[in-house]
Amino acid sequence: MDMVASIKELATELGDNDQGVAYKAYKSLEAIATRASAPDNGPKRAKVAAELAADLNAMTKPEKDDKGKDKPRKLIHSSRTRNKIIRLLSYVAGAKEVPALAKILGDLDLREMARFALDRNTSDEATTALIKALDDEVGPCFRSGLVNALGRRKGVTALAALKSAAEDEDRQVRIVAVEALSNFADASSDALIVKATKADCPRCRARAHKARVRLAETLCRKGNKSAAKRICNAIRASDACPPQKEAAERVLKAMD
Amino acid sequence: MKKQERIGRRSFLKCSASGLAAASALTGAITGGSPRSAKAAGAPEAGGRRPPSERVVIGVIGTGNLGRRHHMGILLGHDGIKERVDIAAVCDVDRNRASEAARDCMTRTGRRVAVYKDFRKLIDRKDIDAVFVVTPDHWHALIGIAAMEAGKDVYCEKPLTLTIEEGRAMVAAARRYGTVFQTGSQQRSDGTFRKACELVRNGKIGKIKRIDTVLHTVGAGQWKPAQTPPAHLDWDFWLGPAPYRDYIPSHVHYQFRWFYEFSGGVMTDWGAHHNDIAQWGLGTDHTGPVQVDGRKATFHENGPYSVAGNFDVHYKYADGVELVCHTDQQKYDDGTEFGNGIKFTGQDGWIFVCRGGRLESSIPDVKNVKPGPDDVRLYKSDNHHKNWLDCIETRKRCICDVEIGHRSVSICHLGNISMRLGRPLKWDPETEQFIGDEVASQMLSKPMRAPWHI
Repeated sequence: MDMVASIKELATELGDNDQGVAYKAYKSLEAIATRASAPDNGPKRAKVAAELAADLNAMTKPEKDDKGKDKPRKLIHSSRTRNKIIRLLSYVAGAKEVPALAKILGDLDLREMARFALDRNTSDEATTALIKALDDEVGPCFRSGLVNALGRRKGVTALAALKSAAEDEDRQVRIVAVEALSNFADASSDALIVKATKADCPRCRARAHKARVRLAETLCRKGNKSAAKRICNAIRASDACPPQKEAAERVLKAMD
Repeated sequence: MKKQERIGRRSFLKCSASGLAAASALTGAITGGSPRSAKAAGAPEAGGRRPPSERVVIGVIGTGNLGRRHHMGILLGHDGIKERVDIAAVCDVDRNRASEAARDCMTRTGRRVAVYKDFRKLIDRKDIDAVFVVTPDHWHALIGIAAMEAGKDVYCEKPLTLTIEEGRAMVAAARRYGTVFQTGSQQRSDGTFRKACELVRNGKIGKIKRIDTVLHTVGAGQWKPAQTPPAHLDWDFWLGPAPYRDYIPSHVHYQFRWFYEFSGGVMTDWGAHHNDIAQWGLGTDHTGPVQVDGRKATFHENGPYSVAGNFDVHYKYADGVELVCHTDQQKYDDGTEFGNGIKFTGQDGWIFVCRGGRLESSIPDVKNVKPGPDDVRLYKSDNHHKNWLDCIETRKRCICDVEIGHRSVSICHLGNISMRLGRPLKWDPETEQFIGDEVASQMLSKPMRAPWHI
């Protein structure tokens, strides 16, 4: 049996009611995906990724009903099976598989796993998909997950999206964005973080102060010591709690 | 113990080194005639118990078997420790477990402690100086970092983390907040392991060629149907940052170890102990191997446990020393045969060490070999908890500081990644990155379920 046929058959078995059969199929597919993910295995990886992405959103064949009208097409695989396919895609998906994953960011059962897969996908297309979902999707928890994923990326596109999210209408999204900004060596983010230190919610204020210390540390690590010093001195003079002030002192001392 | 006093004590120690005048001034500031400092300078209370100002106020997060019976058992009952601590709060997402732990405190001390489900509420308490993190592994980094950011000192169970990225974040937080951090790899506080490592470090078996760490095997587990979680367990909170899955009782308490979503199998469970001793013996606490090959691994297909059941993972350090982490009893070319433990092999002989004071070697009468005057002596601790409490007072680093715990469990994570990918990998221990393998690099971290993130 060729690889594509094998993947199709195993993907069907993923949905078997017998847990043992479904698990064996998953382990077999995982072995295929991990082996294909090796650095010197580009063509095979692309083939496996394409097949899994096709299976992810595969629909039933077009059929006519008794009156000759088109029957509504359905997804072949259950949410449970598709969840497993997304996990497998995490090993091999590249830019070409982003549309298949982005399509299910609106599916309440699968969107978190799809976000995980996009989180691990380093392509620019994945960044764009995460940013688009941040605009399009609903629910503070899911949207803060998108922000977290963007916070782990590098580059100006993600940074700009995070700055925008730091002024989101939702409090939870705002504070997570502020925390994510501290991962980027961008001194201009400090103004947004300072704004967050004046939030109504005490826990958000505390989190913003911690993010500020992290931003100073990131700037220091990336060589922008003057900005790091300025922020540390501002933290020392602020209403931050003692651990944050002490931490700012330590960052300052480390620079001396 | 009040945070201000801890800071004061720390400042005092620093100033003592820099000059008597400054030290005198600070001493005055700290001890300045207050009742608390008078107690601090005086004799212990009746029964050897320290006055409240000198006791470390502790919160225990995670009150399963290890948190409640092991750690709280020591904190509440061990001479030389119980006098130095007050447990103020316990926390668990399983209400029954938290309540049982609170009852233990009441029975043993006659005092009530606060009970929390949400660790953040415990950490918010200003009166708590330090916390134990004794949760399943997928929570260690999140809780540990939150505690450090709140200025608490931390004792965190091994394996320290679920991923290498989490470990680096924990080290960074500990340094940023000046945390006294103990990793629960308590074999470092066992004299037999220390002796073995000192013999190795001092060349008693010649130049080290190879280390074998031997763990036990893991079965496949049994298929069970999913159930509705019991009312006393907040299942969503238990899962926390891990991907959602249905509740199956036999996958939760203790058994979480056998699922990659929550832990790393026996590789991190026992590997965090034995590979830690390998690192100690080699003197590589701040670095690690440069190659890992986990191709000899077996994953069960007949049960739900996702972690590797059997393996022989080969590592190589930059100086050519080989570390092999196995499951199962090992027969060696020199005719020896050992199970669970650590075997160091050098050019001139071998040393095997494991728990229960077992120390064997090609060196005759090894247990009675005394160190020479110029021999390297390693950090000495005879009690892991006491070492942590001592360090909270002195602000020195613990015997198994966060960086040590991170580097030791990193070896285990590297092995797991190589086993899961089925290929050898090159590792740069300086940058803590894989060389030339994008997918392996992605496995240095794990996306977390919102709203959790580090």
